[in-house]
Amino acid sequence: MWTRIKRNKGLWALLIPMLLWIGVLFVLPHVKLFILSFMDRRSGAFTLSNYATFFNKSLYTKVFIRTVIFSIITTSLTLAISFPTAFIITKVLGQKFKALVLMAIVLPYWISELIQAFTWMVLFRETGVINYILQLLGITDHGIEFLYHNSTIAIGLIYTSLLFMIIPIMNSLDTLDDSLIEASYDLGGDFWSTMREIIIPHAGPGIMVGSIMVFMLNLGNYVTVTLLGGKNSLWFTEAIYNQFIVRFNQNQGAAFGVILLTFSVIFVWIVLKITKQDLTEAM
Amino acid sequence: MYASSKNSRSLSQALFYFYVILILIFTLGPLVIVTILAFNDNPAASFPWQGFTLDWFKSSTPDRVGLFDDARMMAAIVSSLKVAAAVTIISVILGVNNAFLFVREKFVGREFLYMLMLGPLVVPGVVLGTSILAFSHSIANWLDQALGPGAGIFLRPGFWLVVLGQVSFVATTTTLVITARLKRFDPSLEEAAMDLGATRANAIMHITLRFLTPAVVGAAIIAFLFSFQNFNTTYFLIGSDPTVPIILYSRLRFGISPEINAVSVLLMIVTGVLGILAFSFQKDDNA
Amino acid sequence: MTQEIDVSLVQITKKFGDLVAVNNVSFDIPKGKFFSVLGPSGSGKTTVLRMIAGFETPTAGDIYIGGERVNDVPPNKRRCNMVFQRLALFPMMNILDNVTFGLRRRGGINKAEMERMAEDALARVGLKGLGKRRINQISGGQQQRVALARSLVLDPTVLLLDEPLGSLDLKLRQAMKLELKHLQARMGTTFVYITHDQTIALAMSDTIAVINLGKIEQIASPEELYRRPATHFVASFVGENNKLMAGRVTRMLDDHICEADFGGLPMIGRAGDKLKPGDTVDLFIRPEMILLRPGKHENAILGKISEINFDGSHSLIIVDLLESSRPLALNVKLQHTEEAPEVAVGDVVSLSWRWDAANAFHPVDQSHIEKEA
Repeated sequence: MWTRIKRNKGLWALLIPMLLWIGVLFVLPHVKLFILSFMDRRSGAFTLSNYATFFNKSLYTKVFIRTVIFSIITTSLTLAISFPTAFIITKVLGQKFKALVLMAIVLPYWISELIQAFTWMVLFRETGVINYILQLLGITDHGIEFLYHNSTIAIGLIYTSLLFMIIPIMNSLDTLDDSLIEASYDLGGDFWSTMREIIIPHAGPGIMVGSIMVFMLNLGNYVTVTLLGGKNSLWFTEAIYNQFIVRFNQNQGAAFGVILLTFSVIFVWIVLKITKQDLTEAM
Repeated sequence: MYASSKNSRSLSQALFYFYVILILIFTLGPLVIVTILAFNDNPAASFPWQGFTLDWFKSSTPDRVGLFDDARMMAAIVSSLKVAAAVTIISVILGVNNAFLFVREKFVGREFLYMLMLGPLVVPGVVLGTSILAFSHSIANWLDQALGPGAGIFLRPGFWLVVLGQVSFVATTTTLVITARLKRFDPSLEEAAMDLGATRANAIMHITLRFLTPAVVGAAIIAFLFSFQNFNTTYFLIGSDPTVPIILYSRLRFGISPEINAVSVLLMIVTGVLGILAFSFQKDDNA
Repeated sequence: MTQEIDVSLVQITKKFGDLVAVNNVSFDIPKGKFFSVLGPSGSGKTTVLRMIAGFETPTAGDIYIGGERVNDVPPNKRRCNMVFQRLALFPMMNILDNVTFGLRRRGGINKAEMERMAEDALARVGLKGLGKRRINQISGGQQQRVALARSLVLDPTVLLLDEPLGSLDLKLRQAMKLELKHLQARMGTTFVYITHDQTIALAMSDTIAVINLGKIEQIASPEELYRRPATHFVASFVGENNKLMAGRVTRMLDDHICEADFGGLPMIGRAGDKLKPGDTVDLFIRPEMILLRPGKHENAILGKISEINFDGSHSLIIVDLLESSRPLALNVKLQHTEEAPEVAVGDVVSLSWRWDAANAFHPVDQSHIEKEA
């Protein structure tokens, strides 16, 4: 019996810090957020008005839908760029180039997202580098404001998401035995049929994980979108920020937060169900 | 890949290399340009090149304040360092704690708790930040009422709130890194040590924790970097002492000054060095 | 009798940087035969196979398949197919799709016809009706056969097999050995099988090419290889052998029969190399061909049994030779037949053999031998 108590003591010694951390810094705050979203700002009574505002005030719903669709587009573009990159790194490059290229791609990501967005500002702004080059080459004679356009926001988002798509796909492709590719050729396949029937299906889990991660990152992005999009970025996270910091309306902000969170979870769940993947398996 | 003739084989090879170079230009290009501009004697923070200068790093003339002479910026750096240090220490301790919990102990709800622990990585940083803001706000109010005004001060936006907010998700990352390493530990090594006369605590100290060291160092570096550059969560919890990302963001909304280029270069160097360190520790880990 | 030749290698050399993996190799593979390339790991046999398949290009020399020079033909256009060492089955498809993969690449065959051909191939390898299963739902032996069916359905001129039996357990391997041989005989397809396992090569092949360090040592039937090895390497690699080292040729009894002195003991054997009196030779004696009789006999070598190892159908008896100035011992394989003598450890026995049960060769550089081990 003493050993059982002793064992349990050890377990509790480990369990308590963990539960404290997850409980106090994660679970309870979200519970609070959830509760707040259903409370009236002044009276504290139960109300659905915070949610009603979202669905009724067409601006908020429009912004939300725009954020979702924009994120889907940028995720797809990121995938389109990342897949060939991951493929070339794992299957085409020799050993020494592989390590070098990988390091070159990874290093920028140790720098914060804010610096990344900043570098694109330096390039895109009216008095920035791209305009300088254009004027130098005589293509234009005055500065063009490239910032604050959808394309600029997209480029910024893709830039900041690349690595999160490349790495999972690389991990998937690494497990693809070269002999499968050789077998495909041996049986008469060529580059495209091998890609279609062997390589891409094999990378499926990696593509899934990467796409989910990038989508979530883009959906919840704040820095890149607001710096490169300016006042017209119309991104949903900005609405949350506005409610909390500018309007001091925690209840409304909480409702938006809950909507964002719920949507993310449901969206990911549906995608996984459709592609018949298991999340734990994919991770 | 097995093209029909030597020529088309080398053509496809060339195309592949070309694509990689394009990607590298895309990812590294902006950074290179910013680095060049940090030394460009042009107050417009753009081209043309007007000579080499270190003014954006160090200068205290009225119209040119270098980064190291910018009191507010230096204060922000110090602030970031303090926060990052605290977050790293707490997160690494939690990480080791959780690793032992999940790898060594069996208990009801272990799978569920593991999934829950992954939560902070999945939830958008904005939601993490606002939830902690709301929660701490009400706790602080309650403390003020129960124990007198000012009792809940440490839970108001400020240093400790930022630290706690970052720990919420950084600890998940450290847990994952350290758990991955602990999973590969052969427990019979501990038993061998005890067979040779060590106590259980001794065995864990000298054998197991030693084994975990590369992962702990790696996790610490990652935690430090995550903390240093975090924005989304920190933004809601920051008080009157901004961290570097916060101060940069507020300045950037008003325009670009060349000093920010210099700050970028400094951050690139620091994070680059730390990143390479973490990378090399990961490589040792795989040995 | 002219044999139609399916695959022809003419002076093939392959270098990887400074390393010469295949060194001026030439051989012809006749149509419809089971041809094996046998050699230790690192001998270059895999490289040879991959060059025939098209995954490596020769540094020098020409490869002909079905009479057509294929050096510049990519692997997906050659009329040969390969069964890979680890099978390389496609886990992202079911068995039927695996087998129809090559058919789908050809075009001009409608879906129903492809499925019929695939089912047919699967039936031929004994896997009728398993088409809808996935790769991880069948056993190792069944996976083997799927890999075979996948290649055979394309009716290749030549089927290349990269040691596919290596990963199977012993009993399964024995069974598959026979199955493969019967399959090849039934279908008449030319099989090129590479392996380091001589029991497989000897049991299944019509012809074996023994390869070592990138060079062909001998090409012959299994029996020829076993009884009349052409080189020191073949003698030491193929089959079990007693190896007596550094004897000295005393006289030639014939063009190809020699007598050599081993520490005072004269022994006869077939001269594998061109020998003359005074040459130093190593002598290889087949353990199952040594006649063991209890007691002393004329024209025999006297020995004393030091060990008896029972091994089912036979015993391996270790006999220390008594009349040599050197400490020599011979392993004798004694079949447990009715006529086999009853012997025990410590018995004095006489050993003798026919001249062609032993092969004498000039010794080779010792370091080569270490590499083979």
